[in-house]
Amino acid sequence: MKKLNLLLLLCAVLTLSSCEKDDNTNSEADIKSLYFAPEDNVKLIGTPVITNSRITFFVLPGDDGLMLAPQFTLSKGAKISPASGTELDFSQPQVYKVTSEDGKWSKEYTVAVSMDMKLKYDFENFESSKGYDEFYERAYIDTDKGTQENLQYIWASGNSGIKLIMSGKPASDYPTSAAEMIGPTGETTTVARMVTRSTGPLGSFAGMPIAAGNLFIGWFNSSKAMGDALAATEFGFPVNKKPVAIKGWYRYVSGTKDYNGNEVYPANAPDSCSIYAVLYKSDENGTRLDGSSILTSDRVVAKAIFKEPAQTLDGQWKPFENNEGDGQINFEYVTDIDQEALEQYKYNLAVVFSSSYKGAEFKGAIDSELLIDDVEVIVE
Amino acid sequence: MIKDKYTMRKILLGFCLSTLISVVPVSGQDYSYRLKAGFNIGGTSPLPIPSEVKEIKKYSPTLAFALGGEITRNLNDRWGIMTGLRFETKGMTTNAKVENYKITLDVSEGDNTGHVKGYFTGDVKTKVRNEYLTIPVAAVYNISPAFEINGGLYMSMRLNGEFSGKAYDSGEGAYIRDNDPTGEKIGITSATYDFSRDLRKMDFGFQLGTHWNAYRQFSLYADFTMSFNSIFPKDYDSISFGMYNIYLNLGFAYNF
Repeated sequence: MKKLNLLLLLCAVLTLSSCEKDDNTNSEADIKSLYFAPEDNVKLIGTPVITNSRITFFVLPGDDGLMLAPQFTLSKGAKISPASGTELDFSQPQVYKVTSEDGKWSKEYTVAVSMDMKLKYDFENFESSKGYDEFYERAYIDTDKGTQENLQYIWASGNSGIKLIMSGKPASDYPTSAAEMIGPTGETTTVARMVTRSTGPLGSFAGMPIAAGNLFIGWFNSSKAMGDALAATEFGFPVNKKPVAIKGWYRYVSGTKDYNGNEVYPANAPDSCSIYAVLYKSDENGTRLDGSSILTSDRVVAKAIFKEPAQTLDGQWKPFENNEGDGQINFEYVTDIDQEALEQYKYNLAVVFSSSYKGAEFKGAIDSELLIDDVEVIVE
Repeated sequence: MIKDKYTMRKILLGFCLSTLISVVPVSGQDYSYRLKAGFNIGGTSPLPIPSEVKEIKKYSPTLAFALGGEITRNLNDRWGIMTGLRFETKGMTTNAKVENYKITLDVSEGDNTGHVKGYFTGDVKTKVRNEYLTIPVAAVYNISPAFEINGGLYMSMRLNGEFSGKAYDSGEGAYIRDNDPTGEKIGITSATYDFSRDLRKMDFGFQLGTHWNAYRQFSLYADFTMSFNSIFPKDYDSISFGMYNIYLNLGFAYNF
């Protein structure tokens, strides 16, 4: 039995040697959170939105204008440049580079601050660095140091969630994109274009056979996109003014077929689009309302819903209105607004567009197309 | 260390052939024969276990058996040369917690199949089950009439194989990062993978064994085998590290 013991010992040695681990090998390069040192006296509104390559945060306009020194927590062992706590001019977004602990991977983050969210949207500004179009707003903010330009990355779409299955396709094939065409004013302009797309086998597998084009104020949490899609659309950013109405222009044509190619959306029962805006109370944790709660939560204070947006088969732009001649859709308040809380940015505003109104449930006609331009939230 | 795998293969094949020739029965020589049946217990594992694997939560050897015959040409009282043929399965299932584990996840719906290639963090359940036809060649040394030890090489041809599994969320969150570890995070509740088609046809390795004559013609044996090569091709990129067969074959032999 001696030999057998020897053999078992050999096995044990082999097994043990195979367990040696060098643990300084984290390959992730994420920014996990953004905060300010107490002595900086910067007042963050809500929680910063951190996606895979961009951070958007809101601050109350302070003494130093847009000179800010944000600090970061990172993936285990990762390093950031410029260093956490470096004072930089955030009138333009700043780019930080994060390098993983193992040194093999790095990622750039564009960090943008927003002050006083813009309420008038012309959809002229977008960028396509990630392979799909992302709209942003160009605002001008009055600070103690004069008027400063401020790029606001307030628009989100589900594009990042389906990037996996879109690889190699042009930005215009994504459900949400920027399109150049004759706009509501009769001149060539850039508009927001949302098209309901089939997602192919990968999407079907995940129970998401279609991807409706969508565009909303808020952010898209793609880590939730495949498991809990309704939770992935986190709606709303803080405002300090009371919305009264929403104005805007749209064009909409329904598709006729579902993702199986069946003719289930004929002319007498077409697909429909979603166009609405919601004002809701923020909570202490910074939790946003998402696709499951945006219209039903008791935190909702007011809603402006375009009830039955008709198809525009003549190719003409039409205004958002529930009755012909209104020219706008009024916010209907379900509860009174707390003026003091409003001044402290304790309310979030979301504006939401989707090319299929049941898109969040993955129902809709393939090729349903919604075009949006020149939107404005009217405030008191 | 022989770097070139083709050179190594030639040497192995040469060794096997020369041994086979040397044990081909010739009258006037002393031969012994045995039949063996046993179980393979072990793992198909990376060596060393990479840092991406944080915890092996569960391991089960599964029912893997080996059946075969051996022929030994006895050179003198102590030494001999052995070869043989055995049919065996090598398999296991494991559940492991992984971080940034490079993998290609397979997703399918009806006739369509899609792949997501990236770095997965979460839990993986792996099932390995390969059937091999194996030719061992070994030097035999008899310590006493009852004890024998042997050591040599083996060459296996894979008849059938499975390397498949599931990537899932065990409750602590699971995601795959698109393409590289800095890519977009996509949450995963459950997805599958199947690399069975990509398994190598051949497996080469060494073996160390011992026999103990327990009762009359019956002996107990233990053969340790370990492969030199990964079960996947060298440049395989659906997982980022080699997987080696490391098994202990325990069983009974009948000596003619």
